[in-house]
Amino acid sequence: MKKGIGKQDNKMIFEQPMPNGRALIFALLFVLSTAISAHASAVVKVYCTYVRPEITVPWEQEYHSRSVGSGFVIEGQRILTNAHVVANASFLQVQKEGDPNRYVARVLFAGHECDLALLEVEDPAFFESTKALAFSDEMPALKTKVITVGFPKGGTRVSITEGVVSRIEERLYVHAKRTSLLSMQTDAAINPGNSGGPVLQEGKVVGVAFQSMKNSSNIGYFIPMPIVEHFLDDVADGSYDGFPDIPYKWRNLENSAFRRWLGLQEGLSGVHIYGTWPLSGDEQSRLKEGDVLLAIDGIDVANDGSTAYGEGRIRFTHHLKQRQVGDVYSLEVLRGGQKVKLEERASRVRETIPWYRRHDVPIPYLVVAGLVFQNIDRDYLDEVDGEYLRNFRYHLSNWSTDPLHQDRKTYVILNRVLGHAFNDTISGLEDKLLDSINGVKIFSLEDVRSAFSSGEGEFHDIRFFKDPMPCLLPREGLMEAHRAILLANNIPEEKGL
Amino acid sequence: MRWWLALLLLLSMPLMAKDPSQSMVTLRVTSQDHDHYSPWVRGREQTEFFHGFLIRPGLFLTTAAELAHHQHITLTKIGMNRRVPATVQVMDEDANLALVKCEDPALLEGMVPLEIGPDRLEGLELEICRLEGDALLRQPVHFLEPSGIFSLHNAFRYACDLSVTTSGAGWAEGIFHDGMLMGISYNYNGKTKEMRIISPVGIRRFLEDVDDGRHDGMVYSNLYTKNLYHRPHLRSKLGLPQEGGGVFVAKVPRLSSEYGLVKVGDVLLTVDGYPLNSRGKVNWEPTGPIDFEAIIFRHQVGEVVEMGLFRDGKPMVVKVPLRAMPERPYLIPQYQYEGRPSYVVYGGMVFQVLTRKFSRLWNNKWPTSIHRNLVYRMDNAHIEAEEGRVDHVILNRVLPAKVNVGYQDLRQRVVESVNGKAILSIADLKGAFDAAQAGSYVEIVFEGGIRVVLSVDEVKATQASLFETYNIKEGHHLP
Repeated sequence: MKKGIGKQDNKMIFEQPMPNGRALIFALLFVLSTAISAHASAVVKVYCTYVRPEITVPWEQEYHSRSVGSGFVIEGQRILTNAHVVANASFLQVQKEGDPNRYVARVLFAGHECDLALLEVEDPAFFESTKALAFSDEMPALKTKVITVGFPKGGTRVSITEGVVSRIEERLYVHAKRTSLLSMQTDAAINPGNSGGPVLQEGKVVGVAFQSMKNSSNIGYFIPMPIVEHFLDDVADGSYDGFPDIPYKWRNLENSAFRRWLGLQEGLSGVHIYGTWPLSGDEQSRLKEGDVLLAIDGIDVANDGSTAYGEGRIRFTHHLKQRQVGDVYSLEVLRGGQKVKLEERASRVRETIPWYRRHDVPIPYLVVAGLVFQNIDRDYLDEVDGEYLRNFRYHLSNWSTDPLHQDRKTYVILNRVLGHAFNDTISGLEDKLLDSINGVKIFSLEDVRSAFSSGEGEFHDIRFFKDPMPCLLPREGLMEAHRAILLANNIPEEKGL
Repeated sequence: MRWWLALLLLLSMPLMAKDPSQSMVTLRVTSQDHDHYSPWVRGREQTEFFHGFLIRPGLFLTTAAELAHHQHITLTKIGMNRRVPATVQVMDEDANLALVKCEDPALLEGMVPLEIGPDRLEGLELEICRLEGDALLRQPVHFLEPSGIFSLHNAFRYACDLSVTTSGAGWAEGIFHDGMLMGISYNYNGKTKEMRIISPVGIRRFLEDVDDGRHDGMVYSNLYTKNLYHRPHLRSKLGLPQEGGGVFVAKVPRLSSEYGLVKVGDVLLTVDGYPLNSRGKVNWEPTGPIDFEAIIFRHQVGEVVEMGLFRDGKPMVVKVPLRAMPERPYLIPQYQYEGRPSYVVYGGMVFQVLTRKFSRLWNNKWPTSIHRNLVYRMDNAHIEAEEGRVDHVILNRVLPAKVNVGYQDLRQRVVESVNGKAILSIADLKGAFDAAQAGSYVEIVFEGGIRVVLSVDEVKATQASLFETYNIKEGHHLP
């Protein structure tokens, strides 16, 4: 099984519970609903072979693994599924219920932060006699019945479970752990293999099953239509830009003394802005520390950060995340006792240390005479931890105000030293942050490359952060050793100097 | 005394001294530490049994850690049918040794002060002795190696400590050879069966320190060094001979004795004439290879240690007068045997000093249990000690009440300022709260920018009922 619902990963809060005899109930439910069988033919089983990169040996791959998930045909001869079902796929096949053939599929787009992916199937025969599922125009209300259709563990045929919508709110999507988005909770059983399957109400799709909570009873989540539609609108232009980030740090204003101190009159409400994040492209949010955010797109923000949403309430951040990156939206703030209207562009924040799990991307690295240089990111920290690296968790959460961050594009560390007589004198510096090479400050892997071609003298002088002891490599014989190490370790030439 | 009685005593002395039970007492220590999560609460009292060793008339040697937060100490010995009260005379947390005083004639009668054995344990027949009720249990142990815990990041520092193997352990048990005290146990690893003991060197240094009636404590030497093992390029660049030892000086803390005399980038070659190998070990007669710090730590405050350095391509010698351990060499103390946690409760918000005891509330899981900003502070406690800061003041948690609505989710946050004033100590915080005028507000800014605003009048008006609800007798305690 794959990440999110299926993957075995102790660190995740959300994980699929093991089956506990519930499979028997599936059969009963299947008999209950005849209307469902029509939908079942549009629901497909996704067979995925995936290969993940070795995070700390980035030129190598892990062994390939296989997993099974669900998906469904939507208009335009495409299949919608979860991104975690097809992440790092090397080979994909889809199969319809009742069709003995498997068809080769390909990922068109994967939005890992919203855990959605769009697949295409080359063979037009696949879509013959398959009716695409239609999307519902309405959000299902709380307590209304929904069914999930998919291929969970416990059997091989399609399985249908029924439940109600239990909760609607923003929630962390655990596949990427990048952002919280609108999600719906249901008590319809969602098990490993259900991932990517449709959640239906009155024959129409109201969401995509994607994760559940471990050590709890009947808490499954599905991705509701606003998120699905955002994803489909996003990729309509041929590229995936993702969801905008919240570029400001905010806190509730539930305390009346705080409101009085801010000069917030009775009848006004909002949240306190206590900082902003640097945005990609060196943009800045128009909001300032000390502002009170009163309304977003004309929707009033309550003191607890919620806004009216259908019959209930939802965090105001949802409205921003419903915008596409680049859209302009309006804000109303209280600044210096005055109401001010602002326009803000929906943007992504700068990613000096990627704080989320990344998928389908190669891991950048550079090898110089057996010294493997790499960038610090969430995946690396999850893989290799320790007292030194755990300090990066602090930098990771404080990077926008951290002096260590100034002018820095990435954090480059020495990952490992590939053994060779030439570099045998370098030890004990693994996982340490680079400060400079030959006097050149290192803020990116590109800096490493250029720093090695600078300076003169007998040695290259490598310095690590807060470590005054020079680490020396002779210039003489370096290239010869470098080539031998690349060859011995099967590292492509272009990843070297 | 009749001459023959004196002679008899004299003759029998060596024989008597062979029996450790004549110098050992059982210490019954009742201790009580505060609750470091609710610092106004006295913690649960506990009573444990340890050992004491008669070392001077009326003075018993034991380990300091076992006396932490003591309330009441009594002593007894084999054959005695009651316990007699005792007091702590000296406690040296750095050396982990203490002297307990008891002049009760009933206890002291027939007891013989111990001699401290030779520095070298290797090759000697050793036994561990413990008292259980009226019996003295003796068991052979074997000297393993000098363990040399000198890092400031570890719990204790000793002039020299050693490992022995044994099959079981209590605390503050005696290691004996030929009736002489060879060490006191302070740590036991059940898996490896290794016991750590404070060596005769450490005990002797401590006794020399206190015998003049004044306790100066251990010297504060603190060089951060890096090995020069297998560093041929660096050796050649520095102009050091390839064969030979020495370690690279990476940091000299401001309060350490070496500050201003030894520089970053120096190579430390010798200490008191003992050459360092490239891993920083010296070959010291009593123990064999041991960390160079052992040579420094056996000195008394005010003595001078001679350090051979290699600086700017030339060897040189500096004389380092050794200073006493300052009260706060590092921002977050390694251990706290005495005193109460400092705190201020304001508007139901519990502010405290970040200490190891606070983090240890989560046992060994603290690095993953407490907020990462606090973990960072704990990991870098020794670095920030020099930046003028006295404490890291943190918000531990919020005791819910109407006055702090909206803030009750906040916990484990580092306080940066109050009403614009930087908070560098818990006293700063108390001062800032006290300075806030009636009718005004208190604005607290936490690391990262999160703000909390409380009305001074509301805090005052609700204080009494809040304290009653949460059973708080004292709203603050400052060091």
